[in-house]
Amino acid sequence: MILPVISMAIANASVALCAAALQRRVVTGDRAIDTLVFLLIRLLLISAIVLFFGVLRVLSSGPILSFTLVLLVVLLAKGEHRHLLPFSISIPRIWMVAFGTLLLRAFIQSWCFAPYNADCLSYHLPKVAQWIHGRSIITDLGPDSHSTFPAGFELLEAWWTVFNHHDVLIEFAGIEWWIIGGVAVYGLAQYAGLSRNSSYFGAFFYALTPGIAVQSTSCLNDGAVASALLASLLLACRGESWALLVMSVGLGIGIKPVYAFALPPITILYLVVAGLPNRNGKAVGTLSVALAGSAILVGAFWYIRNLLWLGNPIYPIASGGLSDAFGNIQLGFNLSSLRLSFVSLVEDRVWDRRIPMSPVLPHLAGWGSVNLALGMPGLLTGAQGDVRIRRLAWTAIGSAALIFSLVAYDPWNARFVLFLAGLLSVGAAWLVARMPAVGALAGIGLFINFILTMLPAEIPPNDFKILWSRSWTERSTLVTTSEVPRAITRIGCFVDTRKPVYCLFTPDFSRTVVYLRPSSSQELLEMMKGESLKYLYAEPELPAGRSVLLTCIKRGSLVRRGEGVFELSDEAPLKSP
Amino acid sequence: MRFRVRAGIVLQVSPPLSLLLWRVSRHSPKMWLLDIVILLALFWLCVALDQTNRVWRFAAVTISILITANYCWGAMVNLLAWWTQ
Repeated sequence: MILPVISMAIANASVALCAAALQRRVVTGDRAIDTLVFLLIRLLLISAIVLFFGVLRVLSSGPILSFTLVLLVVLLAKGEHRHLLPFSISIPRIWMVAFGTLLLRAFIQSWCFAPYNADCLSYHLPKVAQWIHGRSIITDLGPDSHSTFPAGFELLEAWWTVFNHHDVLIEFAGIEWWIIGGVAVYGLAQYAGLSRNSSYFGAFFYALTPGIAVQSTSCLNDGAVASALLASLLLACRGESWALLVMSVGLGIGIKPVYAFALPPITILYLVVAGLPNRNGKAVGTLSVALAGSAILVGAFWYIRNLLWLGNPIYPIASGGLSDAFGNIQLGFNLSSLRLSFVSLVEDRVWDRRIPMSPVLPHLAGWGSVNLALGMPGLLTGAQGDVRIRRLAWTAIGSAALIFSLVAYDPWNARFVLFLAGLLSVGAAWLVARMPAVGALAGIGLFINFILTMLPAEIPPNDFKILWSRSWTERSTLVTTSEVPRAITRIGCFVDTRKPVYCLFTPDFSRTVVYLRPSSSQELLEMMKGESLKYLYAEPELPAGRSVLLTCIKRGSLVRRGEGVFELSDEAPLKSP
Repeated sequence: MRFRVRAGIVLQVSPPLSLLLWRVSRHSPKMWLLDIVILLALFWLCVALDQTNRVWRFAAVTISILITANYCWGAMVNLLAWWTQ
């Protein structure tokens, strides 16, 4: 237990020091932007390290520790640590306590929650489990058709699991982006002309936005996309170096293509601001360009991999979109999607009352009462009198309209425009600054937001008690795994719809999971014997898959041992009689 | 009043009025008066037409109280039902 903690501490210290050293060389002089750039460089370094070692098939604690230890020694020898003091962030004590409370709660939630969201358990996290278990990023991606999607966020999750070979800290990836979002909102509030104190209010409103807060500990990547968009928006509206903006873009596109949908208005904003005579932009240095290029390479890796491996950068989405057992994805513009999404948002979802708060936001907007009740009036009023707020508002509206036009209308698509909450938080802070009386409403709203985000809808209080009663080493949300004896170190997996296969790996990734895609019962048995598999997790729901499984059960080749768990009979025939 | 000022007011008032008409024409059985669009449209009108800086402040407080009350009531009822299930 001690060794993984020391390894993690060394690796994180090394990466942070390296990021600080690089940030010092591209410093802009603006506190919010410099902090943001430091955090983005840090994530870029982590992503690059995990990607590099993963491609080389040595993704484990030892090699990464060796590399980061050498890096740390070199940085210390060069005296980089001596420059850390001026870089330290000076936050007023009251805000330290406020943000510290939120951070502490996020850490506790991260510790207590096991990954619980269906999308995460089906296609986001099985990738991470395969990487850590197999020490390689070049691996079988699993049966879910969405598993080929970009995995920039999963690189960060891998970082928080690779040292201790356990998923107890896997939610830290979301918390990292959550912090970046808060810093970006602080910077946007400063840009909108708010005082330092009011800017902290804006960042706090954003951090306690229900949708953002539940996303931060959910292992989903939509909160990360929102934060990446806010970071890009800040870099664009300040007209800073285009290379820093491109660096944020590289990281953003690596998380999810939805990020790219929102880019055109942000690009226009940058061009408008960059064309102004009194802009803040400075000469772009070689290091900034190198950082931008690296980020684009890291972000584009998944698209290039898909192109080379599967022949389509956005595989499996074809010209007609994607419609299969795993869901529907739209490709191209659809004004009907825009109209339906907008109407649903303003008529129903903004009130967040259909179900408890959930990170996928089914029939919810996740903006919370502060952003809704204070943010909208504040943004509208602020935009009337201030061209900077007007620019931000129009850019955000344009980006949201593009996203809603380019994604299919469904009950969950409001999570793609979560970045709007950042702008609304700025609006709320603007209103509170000018009308302190509404601060009481903000207090009520923050309290409600805090209560709403204690537990996600997927973990009702009784389930949380069960999770809490388990040892952290064995915490898992899938009951099915308890049906598989812990001693089983290899299991086959045969599913054709969205199933929580991540839990099969166990929290310490000790079990080998072999994905099977048989077309006949005979092939299934041959595959199991060929892979030396005694156990099988099988829950096919499509007719062809069910037929394969039922045939094996009828013949006595597979014996049911639990919900979805089967044992290969010793007498299982390889050939049909 | 100068033509430019009048044109500015017309330009600012037209979108919220259009939204109001669109919203009312939908005849939603829901509490349309509390609908977010109509509230914001009314608020937009206050801000656009106000010359004294008092009207929009009053409107902002009213709208904030209405939305906070509506949001918190719905969210808490939902949450309590979930916690006690």
